[in-house]
Amino acid sequence: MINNYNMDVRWANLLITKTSTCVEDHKDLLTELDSKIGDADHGINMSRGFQAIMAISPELSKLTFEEALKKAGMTLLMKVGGASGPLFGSFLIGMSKATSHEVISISKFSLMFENGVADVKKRGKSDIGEKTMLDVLVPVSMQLKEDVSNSTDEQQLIRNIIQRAEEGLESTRLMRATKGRASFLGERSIGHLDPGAMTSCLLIKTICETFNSENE
Amino acid sequence: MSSNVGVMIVSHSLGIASGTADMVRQIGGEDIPISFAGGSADGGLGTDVGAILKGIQEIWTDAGVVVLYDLGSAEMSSEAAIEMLPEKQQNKIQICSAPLVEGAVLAGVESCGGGDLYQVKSVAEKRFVGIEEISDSSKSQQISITHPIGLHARPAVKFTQLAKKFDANVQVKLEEHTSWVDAKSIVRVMGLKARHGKTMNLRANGSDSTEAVNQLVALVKNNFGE
Repeated sequence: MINNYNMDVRWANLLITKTSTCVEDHKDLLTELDSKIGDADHGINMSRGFQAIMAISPELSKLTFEEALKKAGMTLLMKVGGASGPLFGSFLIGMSKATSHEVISISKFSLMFENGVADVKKRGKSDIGEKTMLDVLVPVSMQLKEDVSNSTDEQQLIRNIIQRAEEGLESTRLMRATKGRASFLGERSIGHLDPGAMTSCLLIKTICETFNSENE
Repeated sequence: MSSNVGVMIVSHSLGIASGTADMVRQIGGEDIPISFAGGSADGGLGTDVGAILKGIQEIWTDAGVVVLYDLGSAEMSSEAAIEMLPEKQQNKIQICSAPLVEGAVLAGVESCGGGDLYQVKSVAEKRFVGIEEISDSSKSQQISITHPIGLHARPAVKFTQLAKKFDANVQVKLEEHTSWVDAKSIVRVMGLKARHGKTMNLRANGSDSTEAVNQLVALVKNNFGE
C-alpha cells in the first residue's frame, strides 16, 4: 500500500525540524570529513543553512509545498556560503519546479526527486562517479523510479532507498575526486568519504525514518 | 552612464577580491565599472550569492559585465546569482575561466580600451581570435616609434581608441615579427611590446582604410600627442 501525503503545516514543521536536527547532530562529523579532502567547513556551512531554514519555518509552513521548497532552497543558496549552498539549494529548487499539488504521491515525489538531481548535475557540471553528493542522489533517484514502476510496498521502498543511499556513500570512499576542491588532491582523495555524499545520505535516512515513524 | 564593460570580481576572500579590484582600478581608473564580492556573508572565507548579485547590479550597464572568480564554488555561486537576474541581463553577463588576478587585469585593460563583452571575455581568457588576412598591401605603411617609452599603456590606449573610430579592419605588427594583430585590441597592441626605436607596420582594408592608416601613422609620428 502506498500512501499519499498531504504536505500540510504539520509535515512541513516535522521535516524542517528533523532535517535541521540531523545536520546539527552531525555538524562536527561533516566538518571533520571535509577537513580531510576539502576546506573543513562543510558541517559549519550546512548548519548555518539549516539554522536559517529553521528560523523561517513559521513562514515556510504557511506556504504551498512548492513555494516552501523553493524558499528553503533559496535560503540554502544564499546562506550556506560554500559550494554546498548552490548545490543543495538547486536540489530543493529543482524539486519545487516539479511540484504542483499539495497531495504528494510517491510517483510524484519520484519525479520531483529526479528533477532535483538533474538540477544538481547541471549546477555542478557533474555526474555519478566523481566523488560527490550525486553518488548518493543518483542511485536513490533510480531506485525510487524503479520501485514506483514496480509498485513496491512503501516499507520495502524505504528500506531500498536507505540501502542505496548507504551504498552510494560508501562508494565514494574508493573514488578519486574529479570535481571541487577535493580534486586538487588527486590520488590523495582516495580513502575518504565525500562530505556532501555523507550529508545527502544522512538527510535521506532522516526523511525515510520520519515517514516510517509517522506510519507506525 | 559608462558604456564600458563592467568587471565583477568574485573570491572566497575579501582581501583578494578587494585587492584584485584595486589592481584593475589602477589600470582602468574611473572609466570602467568594477565591483567585487569576497568572503561569506558572516565575514569568513566563502562565497555569498547575495553579494555577487548586488555587485553585478551595482555596475550594470547595457555594455554587460564579465565575472572573474577564484575557485570552482565561486563560479557556481556566480552562476546562481546570475540566474536570479532578468533574462535580458543574463545574456549580457559572461563568466571568464581565467586566473583571477591576471584575467581581471586583462579584462580591465580591454574594457578600458572600449572592447565589447566578447572581446573582453576572450582577452581575459587569452583566447585571441584569429584575424583576417589582408592581401591588398596598397594601404600599408611603416613607421618608427620615436616616443621615449614606446607603445606603452597610455599611448596604446590612444592608438586603439583612434583605430576604433574607423570601420576599416586595421592591423599592426612589428617589422621583425611575422604575425599581425588587431589594432583595435588594447591587449594585443600592448602585447607587441613596441619599444622606442622599433619599426611598426600598419595595414588595413575597408572603406576608410587609407584614412585610418594615415591617421594612426600621424599619431605615432607626433609621439601620441605627448
